[in-house]
Parts: sequence; structure tokens; C-alpha cells
Amino acid sequence: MSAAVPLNASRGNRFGIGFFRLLLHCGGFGLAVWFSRIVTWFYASFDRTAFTATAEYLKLRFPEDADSRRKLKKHFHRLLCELAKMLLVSYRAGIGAGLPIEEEDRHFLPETGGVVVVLAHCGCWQSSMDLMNRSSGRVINIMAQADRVAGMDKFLALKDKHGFNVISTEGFSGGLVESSAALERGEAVIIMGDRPVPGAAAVEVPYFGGKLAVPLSPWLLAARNGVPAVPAFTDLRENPLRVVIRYCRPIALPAAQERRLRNEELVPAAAEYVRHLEQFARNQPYRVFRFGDMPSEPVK
Amino acid sequence: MNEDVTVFRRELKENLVDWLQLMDKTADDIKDEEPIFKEGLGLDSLDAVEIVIMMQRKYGIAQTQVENKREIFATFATLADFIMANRTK
Repeated sequence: MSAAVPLNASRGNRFGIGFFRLLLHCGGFGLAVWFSRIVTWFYASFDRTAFTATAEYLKLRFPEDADSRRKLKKHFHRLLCELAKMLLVSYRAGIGAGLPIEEEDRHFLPETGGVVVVLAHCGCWQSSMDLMNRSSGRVINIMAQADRVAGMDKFLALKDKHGFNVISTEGFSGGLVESSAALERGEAVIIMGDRPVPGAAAVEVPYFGGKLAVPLSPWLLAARNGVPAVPAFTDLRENPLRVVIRYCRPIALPAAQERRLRNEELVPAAAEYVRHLEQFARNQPYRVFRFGDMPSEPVK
Repeated sequence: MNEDVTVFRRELKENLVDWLQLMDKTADDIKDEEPIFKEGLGLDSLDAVEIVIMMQRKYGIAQTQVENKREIFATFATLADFIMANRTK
């Protein structure tokens, strides 16, 4: 995958997104999901770059099919179908079109003070920002790459886009100094914990018998500012159809020291978080949208 | 450069080496006009957080005082000058 043209920035266009928004408004959610299957079939059949970016995850998650390109392609198509559905859900939730958003285990979030919320590219994760913005009572910041912001603009229709601040991951500190200051002010900082931005400090931890590179920044920021790091996942549940943001128990962090926290001191927190990611992928294998490099050789 | 500045810079270099656990460096290896990150001392984004925390703990500088002020971190000298001018401890 080319680092210069991120996948989510190069897929989809204004016309296509406008068409699906119109379809949602006029034909409803069911019709839009049905039509998205035609579009995803096209991508599943012809988008080799996207397939390559997904294949490493699919090989780890479905090791019994790792040697069969045909079977991996079937998994890839199902994953793309779910991705399209999740984007439609996020849009529908964002515009307040009658899709309830609920929170589960909210008691894991502190009532006041700073908190690092660790999201992942799983489920309809975009929906969670809108709810946190409305319900948390604190300022929400999200660390994001420029192309991710473009992606959010493409697919989301948040009622109040100015309700949360975007901290750019570009610059000498990758946005960490600004995030740390936000935590000191008692704000929430959302970080995607399943994928490091290019150049950021990361660690590889076991994941389905292979390895997954994840950032160290959520754990360092939380440990250094004495605030909890709370993993959160966004599920789409049926009967009735609704989005549920599920908060997890805060990850245990190393104690504060009067010196730099070494990377290896942060690894247990990263590993514990990846166990949450594994659990999500076990339960909802086609709702894991971490496209990109993921070395699949077994961990020694 | 007056003596106070020289003494403070020396102290800050020692604090940086100590706090950041720069095993292969001494205070003498930190040059005043050298960049702190990447090609200079070779520090990364996690070190940036650690420096900010050190500034808070040792010199009483709030993190909010340094956010969006990347020019402070351009070189060791700019960092030292900022801390000296704003320290409360």
C-alpha cells in the first residue's frame, strides 16, 4: 500500500457519497445497504490494493483459509459489505435519523477530569464520537491524521462538527504535547489504538498467532497524566437496530516515575488492549477495518 | 551569555539526560543550537511528552503553556530560554 495515498482518502468520491446520502433519505436504510452490496462487489472483484491491505488481517483471523485466495476474497467481500453498512450507520446516526445510540458500562468513564478513550477501527466507530460529544459533558479531542479527517468529512454528518477538536498528528510531537495539555485541562482525548500513525512509537504484540503493531502513545499519555485509559468499541446491534458504545475496564498502567517511562514498561498495557481487539475480531470478524501492513509471521 | 544562563543550561542538560535516560549521552553531548528531535538528539514524540512532564514537575511549567508552541522545542537553547523565563520552581 502506498503511504502517500492512504486507502480511505483515495476510495469513494463526492458523487458516490452524495448518491448514497440521497438513497438513504429517499429509499431508506435497507435499500442503501442493498445497493452498497453491488458497489462492494465491484471493489471486492477489482480493487487489488484494498484486498492486499486487508489480506494480512484475514489470513490471521481465518488461518484455515490463508492459502486460498478464493476463500480470502470471499471474506474480503463480506468485510467490505460490513464496512459499507457501518459507514451508512455512522452517517444515519450522525444526522440523528432515528437510529438510537446507547452506552454500555459507562461507569468505566470517570465523571470528571481527563480521560484517554482508546477507539479502534472496528464496527461503526465513527458514531461514538458524536455521542461522546453530546453526553460526556467535557471537551472531546481526537488525534487524527490529515487524511483521516478527510475521511471523517466524507462519511460523517455530525450534528455539530465543532463539538470536538481535531489534534493533528503531524508535527514534531505527533500531537502528543497538545493531547497531554488537553488531559491536564480535564478533557477527553480519543486515540485510535489499533494502528500507529507513520513515524510514531509503536510496539508489536501477539495477535491471532501473528503480530500487530500498535501505538504506545495512549498508554504513555494516560500514565503520565494520571488519567484512565478506557478502551471503547462501537457495536451495531439488532432487534431493535441500534448503535451501542461499549466501554471497557480501564487498562492497568505503569506507576508514575521521576524519569522517562521506558517503552517496555508500556508494552503490557498495549498487549492487554490487543486482547480486547482479538475478542472483538472473534465476535465480529468482518467489522475489523484495520487496512494496511500487518506482519503475519508467528511471534517467536 | 551570562553566568546564570550557563549554569541553568548545564543543569537542564543534566536533568534531560537523567529524566530521558539517555544512556549513551552526557550533558556535554547536548549542543545549545542543535535540534532536540530527529536529527539532533534523536528524540521521538514520546520523549516530547516526557520533556513536557519534566518541565511541569521540575520547573512548575503547566503543559498548557507549551501546547501549540513548537518553536520552543526547536533547539536546546530555545527550550532552555523558555524554561528559564517561565519557571515557577
